[in-house]
Amino acid sequence: MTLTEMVYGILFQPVSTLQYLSREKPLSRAMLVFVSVLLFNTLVNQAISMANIEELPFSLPVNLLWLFGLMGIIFSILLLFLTAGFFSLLSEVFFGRANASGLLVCLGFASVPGILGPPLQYAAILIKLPAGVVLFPLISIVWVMILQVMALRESLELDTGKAILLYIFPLLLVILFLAIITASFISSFPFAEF
Amino acid sequence: MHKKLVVFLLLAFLLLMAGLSIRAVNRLDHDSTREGTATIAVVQINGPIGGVSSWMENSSSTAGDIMEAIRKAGKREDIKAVVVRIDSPGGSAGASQEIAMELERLREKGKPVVTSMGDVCASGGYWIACSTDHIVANGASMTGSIGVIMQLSNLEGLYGKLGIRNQTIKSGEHKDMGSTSRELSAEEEKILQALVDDSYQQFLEQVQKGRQEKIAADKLLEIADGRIFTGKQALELGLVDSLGNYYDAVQQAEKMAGIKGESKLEVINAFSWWDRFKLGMFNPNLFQQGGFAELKY
Repeated sequence: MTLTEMVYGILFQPVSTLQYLSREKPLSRAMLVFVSVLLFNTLVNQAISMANIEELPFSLPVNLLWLFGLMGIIFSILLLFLTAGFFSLLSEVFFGRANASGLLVCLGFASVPGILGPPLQYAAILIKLPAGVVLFPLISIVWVMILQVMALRESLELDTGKAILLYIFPLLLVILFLAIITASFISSFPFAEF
Repeated sequence: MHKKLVVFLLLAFLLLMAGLSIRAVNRLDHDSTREGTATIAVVQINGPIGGVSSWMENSSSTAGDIMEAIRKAGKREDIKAVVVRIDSPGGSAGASQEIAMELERLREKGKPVVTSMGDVCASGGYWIACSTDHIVANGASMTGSIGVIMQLSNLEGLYGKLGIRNQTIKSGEHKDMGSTSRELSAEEEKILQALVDDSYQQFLEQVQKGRQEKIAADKLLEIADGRIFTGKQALELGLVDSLGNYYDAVQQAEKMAGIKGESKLEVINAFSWWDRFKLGMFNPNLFQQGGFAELKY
């Protein structure tokens, strides 16, 4: 598969493409695609932010936007590795199946639809289409999330239910943690007793 | 074929949006709140004024860039006047003089130049302001600091503690004047003092030239001891022409250029998207250059 076929495949034939990616593990191409998506989105997001900033021409608060953008890129790359490792470990613990490098490649390619959100949003701003400003990035995020679940399913050879469970497991952990904190906080209130 | 076409169309759309984004990021140099036929160029001078900057460094106060921007404003026919927005505590004497000279040349072409002071417009910044037709300061702007300073460090004691012994081979007695590894001799101090005095004299002449009939020579001598003033005090002393903000300076420039109605504003030496990216990456304050024996206004 060429890079063009992989990009096309992840958008229009995700199942077979993810199966191929998890098996062949083209890591360098996955990283290239992932970093390209991040860099492109950083640039377009600057334009989107600036479209919303009305400022005096001599002030430069936009520098911070670049700084945040750059930090976002570094953080996202680290997070990709952490996510792949974490999900692979969880899958091994719960379901006895692991494939960290295959999952890393699949998650890298799963970010491809994310490249459509910001430019479509910016286009919606330029042509003054308020619904698109909200909807386009939302659709792209949901598309990426669905592909991430499929990446888990195909690379770790799980069924869809288990893949979804694995995907939302970190969220469930956070909710549980917050519930415990809230419960202990409430229990410490000096309620009036009869 | 079908796959290639889809990917090609996708890439074409992304390239188009990337192009539009870069254009939008670079268009920050225009004030979108104003519209008009004539253009007023804004030259911004922010931070310490210097002659050079490294690729990591970024300030809008590099003499070369500012002179280039002034020249551009001089050549463009749609630009009817220039506002120099200064927010600088000063810097290199040579760089300040170079910028001021270029402003004088611009004025000779018949384009009015107005200074708008930001928080600080002192020393070398004020030198530059004196080469403009009108100076607008905020009431609280810090200005003045008319004087010259040269600072040298003698690290001989520190070198001794670290076991560092400098060896100097020189062609003349004063070639290593200002060296950090030894005390200045009395003669060298005299030479450097003469240098500072001469530079100070040039500064006084610059202010006298720029503020003709606005401040008396004896009064100038009295206050030109390096002290700073607020914009309000500076107005009373005749160091500035009026109080107001950036847009008052623009209005003054419009008035002087005879522009009827509103004009477009264009920051002519605005940061490019790449400069902004570098600024985001590297805090310029961490990488300031500084020679031991630099003459500064």
